[in-house]
Amino acid sequence: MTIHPPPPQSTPIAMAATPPAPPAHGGRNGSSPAPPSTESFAKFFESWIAEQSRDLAELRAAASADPATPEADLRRLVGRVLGHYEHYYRTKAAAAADDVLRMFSPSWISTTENLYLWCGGWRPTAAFHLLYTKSGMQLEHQLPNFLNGGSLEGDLGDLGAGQLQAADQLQRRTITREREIEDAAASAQEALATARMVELAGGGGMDAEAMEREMQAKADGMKRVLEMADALRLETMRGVVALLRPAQAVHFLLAAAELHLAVHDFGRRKDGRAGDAAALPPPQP
Amino acid sequence: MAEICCEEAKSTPATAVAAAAAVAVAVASSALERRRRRLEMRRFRIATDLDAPAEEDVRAGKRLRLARTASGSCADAVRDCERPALPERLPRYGVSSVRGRRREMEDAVSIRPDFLSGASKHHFFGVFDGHGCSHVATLCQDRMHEVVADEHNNAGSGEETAWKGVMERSFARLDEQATSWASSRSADEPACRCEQQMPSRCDHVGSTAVVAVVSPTHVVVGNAGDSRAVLSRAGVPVALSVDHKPDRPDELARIEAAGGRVIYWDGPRVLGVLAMSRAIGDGYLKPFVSSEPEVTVTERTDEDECLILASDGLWDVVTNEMACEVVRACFRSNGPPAPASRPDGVAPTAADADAENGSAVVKGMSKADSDKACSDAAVLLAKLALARRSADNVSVVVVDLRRGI
Repeated sequence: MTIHPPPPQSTPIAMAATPPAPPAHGGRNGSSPAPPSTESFAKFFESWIAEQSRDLAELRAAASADPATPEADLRRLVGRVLGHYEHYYRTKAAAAADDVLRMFSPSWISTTENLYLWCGGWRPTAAFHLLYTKSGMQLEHQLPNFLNGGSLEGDLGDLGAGQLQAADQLQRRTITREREIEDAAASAQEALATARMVELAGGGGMDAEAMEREMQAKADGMKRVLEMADALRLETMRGVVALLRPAQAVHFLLAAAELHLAVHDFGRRKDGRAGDAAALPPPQP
Repeated sequence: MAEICCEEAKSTPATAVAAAAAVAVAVASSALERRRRRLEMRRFRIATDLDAPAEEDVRAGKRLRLARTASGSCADAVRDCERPALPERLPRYGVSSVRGRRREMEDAVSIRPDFLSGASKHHFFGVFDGHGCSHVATLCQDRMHEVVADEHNNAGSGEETAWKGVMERSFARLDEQATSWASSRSADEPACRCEQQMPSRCDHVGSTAVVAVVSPTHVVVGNAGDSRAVLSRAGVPVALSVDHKPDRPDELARIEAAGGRVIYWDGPRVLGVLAMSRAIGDGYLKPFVSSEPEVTVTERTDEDECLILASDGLWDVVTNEMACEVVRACFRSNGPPAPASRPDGVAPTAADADAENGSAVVKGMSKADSDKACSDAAVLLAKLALARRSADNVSVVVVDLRRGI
């Protein structure tokens, strides 16, 4: 499959929305508001991946631009990329309202990505590990020069005292929220074994209407878990970006997009090979 | 906490800090005069001060809570305490403490400038790396400096030779408090993680302690565990503490002589459990895990550059040499510090919210008092630890020891 479609050459960074970004759909990538059904969400996901690939190219160009891109342009780029994440979660919420079950066993991601699912998406605290890892790599890169009397560059290697502390505090709050959501998920899943359910099960689950009603109530519990988890994912992304300078945020968003797309592509190829080997039909997109 | 709220209300930093420290000492010592819990004497080699009061634990807690909510009374205290500004400079220091790649934060840092009510300024710096839970590290953070001040007062003089006993008795008292923590704590303190386990494992909790007292002439370091203090002198790192690892030959011999064993289970561990041979707390591993500190008293010289205290989150991945080199580079890039005024280090952040609920990772310091070069150095070292994939919490304190600039 195509890994990274070429960036839209004619789209200047300055065209983008300013933060906080308004709804970031646009005809240019075909990610118009999708009708909330599972199939169309899978399609939306494909178009969103293509959009993220274009974002990645722009972020990469901005990160390595020489002379440096003006800060106002970086700010707009960051705002637009965040807007794309927002658009993703808005669309996902609409699809989940229609069918929450699919959201917990998504057909549009690879089995490899499934390994890393937490409450229907990526684990929010992973953002801090990404920040520390990327920041650490950039610091190590600059360190010899700094020890020889040079100064630190403006990327993530130059995370300041206030920024590191703010990241630590945000990380602490995010861990707390993750635990609350995990507790909510535990309650929702434990609620499967209510007296009513056990009663219905005793009848072989033959009372289809009652079963449907009961299971719908259970699924609603998990839908709330998904809403909380997705809200925390988006908030964490925004929170990390908010404590960074625009040039640093570009590096962070770039690392996030690279990691996501690399794992996605790797997983797809792996699933494709596994499918071929077993002479099975290729996995659903 | 008292120091923080007093300093926020101040107009002249030097007097306010001195006064705040004086208030802290006054409160602590008045409490100390009341009575004292009977200590187990067997554990002490030096028994001269055993009748001194030690029941400041409850009162100290109360003082912290009062101070947090009543900055007015702090301001009054500052006014009442007309202590002249001392000619000596306050210390230049910086600190960075992050949970890094761990979900639990079990490190605690305590910085108490001018913490002794003596003629010359003594500054207290402590890094405590907890294990099992954070409550022993927090206990050390809240009380170690008060206990050291008390023991120092009891010792009478500030002679260097007395410091060994002061540190040993202070560590023993903190260890005793940690052991009785579960029964002595007041009910309104937040329940901690260790209490939620069934059965409760509060005696399976401990903390390293590396404590430095910096006077105009000396650096005193007391250490139990695998946190470390390093001095940079004329470009050469001088370790002021030696990590207490179970496989250190003398520690191994001590543990085995006491009837204990060191078992290799993901590295050498006392009874196969704890990867250090000394700590405050850990009642269940006594006497194999000892709380007795090793103490060094080092005369300061004009060639001293900095003192670095850090938890093993730093030392596991950064050598003493590299740490000193990083600090010196930060000093260089910041230029010579202004002797009188200290530039602002860090803008206030969300940490202020933590200070209010009493769970701050760093206690005793005011953000405005952080020195930029030292703060830069501490942060850079913490980031370097993260860069080198330290899997632990990382806490770093950097103290500028340069003279004549």
